Amino acid sequence: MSEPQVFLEVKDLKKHFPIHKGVFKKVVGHVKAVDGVTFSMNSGETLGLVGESGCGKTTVGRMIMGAYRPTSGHIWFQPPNGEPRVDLANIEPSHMRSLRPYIQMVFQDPFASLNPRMTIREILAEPLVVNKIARGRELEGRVRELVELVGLKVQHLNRYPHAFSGGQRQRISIARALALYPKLLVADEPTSALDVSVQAQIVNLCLEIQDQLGLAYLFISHDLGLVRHFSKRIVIMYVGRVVEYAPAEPLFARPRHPYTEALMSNVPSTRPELVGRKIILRGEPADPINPPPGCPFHPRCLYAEEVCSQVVPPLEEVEPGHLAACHFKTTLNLTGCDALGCVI
Amino acid sequence: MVPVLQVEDLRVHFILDEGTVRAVDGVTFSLEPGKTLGIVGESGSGKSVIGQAILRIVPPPGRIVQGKILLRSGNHNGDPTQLDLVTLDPHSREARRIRGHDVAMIFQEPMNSFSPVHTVGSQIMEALRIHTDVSQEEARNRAIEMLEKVGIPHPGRRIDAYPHELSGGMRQRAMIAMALVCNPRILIADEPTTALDVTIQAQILELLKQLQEEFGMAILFISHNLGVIAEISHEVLVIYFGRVMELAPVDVLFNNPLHPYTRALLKSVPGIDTPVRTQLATIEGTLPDPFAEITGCPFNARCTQCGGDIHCRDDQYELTKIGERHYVSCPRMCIAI
Repeated sequence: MSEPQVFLEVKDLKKHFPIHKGVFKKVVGHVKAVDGVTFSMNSGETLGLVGESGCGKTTVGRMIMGAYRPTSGHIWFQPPNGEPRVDLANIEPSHMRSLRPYIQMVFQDPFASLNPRMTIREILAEPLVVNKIARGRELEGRVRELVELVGLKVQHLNRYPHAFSGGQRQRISIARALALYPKLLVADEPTSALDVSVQAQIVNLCLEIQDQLGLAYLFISHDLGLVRHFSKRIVIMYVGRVVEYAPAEPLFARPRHPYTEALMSNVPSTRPELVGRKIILRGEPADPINPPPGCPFHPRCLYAEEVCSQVVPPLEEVEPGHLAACHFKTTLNLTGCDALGCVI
Repeated sequence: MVPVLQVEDLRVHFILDEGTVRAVDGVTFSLEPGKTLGIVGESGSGKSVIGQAILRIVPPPGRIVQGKILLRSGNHNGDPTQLDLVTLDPHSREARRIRGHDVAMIFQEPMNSFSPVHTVGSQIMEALRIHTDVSQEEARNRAIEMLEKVGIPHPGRRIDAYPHELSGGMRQRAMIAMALVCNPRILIADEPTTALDVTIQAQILELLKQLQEEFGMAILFISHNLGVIAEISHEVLVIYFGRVMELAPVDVLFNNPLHPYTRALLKSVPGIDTPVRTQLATIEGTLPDPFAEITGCPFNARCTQCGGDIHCRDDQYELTKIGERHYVSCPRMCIAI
């Protein structure tokens, strides 16, 4: 295999949604859903994007998909066909259409993301027909290949989505995403709507497909345990910002941001003897319309000092490849998941 | 300790045109004051129907076809008596007195369980005024006190807030305040933290434990999340296809599970012992057809231990005691003993 190369680079990405009010729809403020996010991805690698609801993780995924146009920032994408790299944040729609096959998405709710009036064959054929990739016998061949790739049978092709269980539907939506030979799959909470035993099946399928096809995943989830199982590197977000960005192993061994530490200790553990080592955060996540000054986490932070409420901590390297946005990232001795011994 | 609630061989069936769905099929357990019993199962296992049956709010066409739900209560002389909730008319004055007063419930989505057109305070006060003889003013004071206990900041102001003005976590706290304001002896919590974020979930679990210590109520905690169950429960009931698979104290269940289903379920969650990027253990197959009538073990077709053994499939067996407070219903273990 060739040297892994950076093929997606997100730089200081922002998305502010205006809030309209009154008869004239005057803009009275902005929801700062994403407020300065930076990370990069190598081809064939899994990047985990973790955060609580409302932290902007889905918005980041949607901007990469081209569903939202960023307010500012860059999404540098290296097309695999050797063309020069392009900024998806400022791109002509016609140009985007030619790049779209490379980036595909799997959604959270398999009951909402499949059209109930289309058979599985129609669902899988649609991207191929729309992009004029295949037709006739070739189309049928590709559809059959896809359905077998995700562990379903050719006989299933004539059925409608309602005839399938949640896990099977998620397989279908993965097959649909794979139809155009993508290089990056944005998976937005792909297993959250499923039962644990089915979740394990989908996780296994995703891993198999990645090994087989050399895909990169942007794995968006709130489940740290799952992200740890999947990802090489992990981005932790809090209220629109990256608070920590590190390879999985050092992150779980020694987190450098108090929010990461709290998040790890809050994941319910299946080892009852470990209950009690919890960091219960006060309050709730900050309001993205009106985030607190300084570090957005400081009102809930156990270690906050005066500087935290005044200066926004920059995202800086603590160790090679391990970045954190905390004023005390080098001095705090935070407990990682490994030390807690928690099973997550 | 004397159990405050005993459920014996409870069977709730949904009789439909296509056949009968045995949502709960022979469930037995007891709840002790000050203790939490966790019920864990996948979707469609019947765990929520157990909670509904206790409150007698099973939606039609569901019916309790067999079994007893014995609620312990004192009569006028203070002698202990047992009231069988199954014999109660669900619309009777008696049943309405029990709901909220003796047995309260909190639900998964607090937005749907509050009335959107009344303030949170008026809904908490309503519960109090129905069940106890208090004045309007006293009810308000009690409601404020309760909101403070569940950790809502500025309770004096928030009491006049409408549910949509509160965040998800605050709404769930208000819901807990409403459930506990009459000091019930039993709290049924049906997936109360599923819609919440992990940090808020940790807060709510902590709050429930703290309130249990203060009020001494028994909690029936229903969830699909093994981690949450492990944290809050004293004893755990594993349910599959409407039947009890295993019942054990929490440390026994998670450290030494005996039923193949419990084992498979625990293995399918990635843990710290699981090497990263390896294949997770899965439970092959799917739940049996809901209309199926299975005499033996409903898990037999998916079980790795028996592999479709006909004894497992066809022979009747019972939940069997296997250790101190540890019960298992696996034909391979129960019939052999």
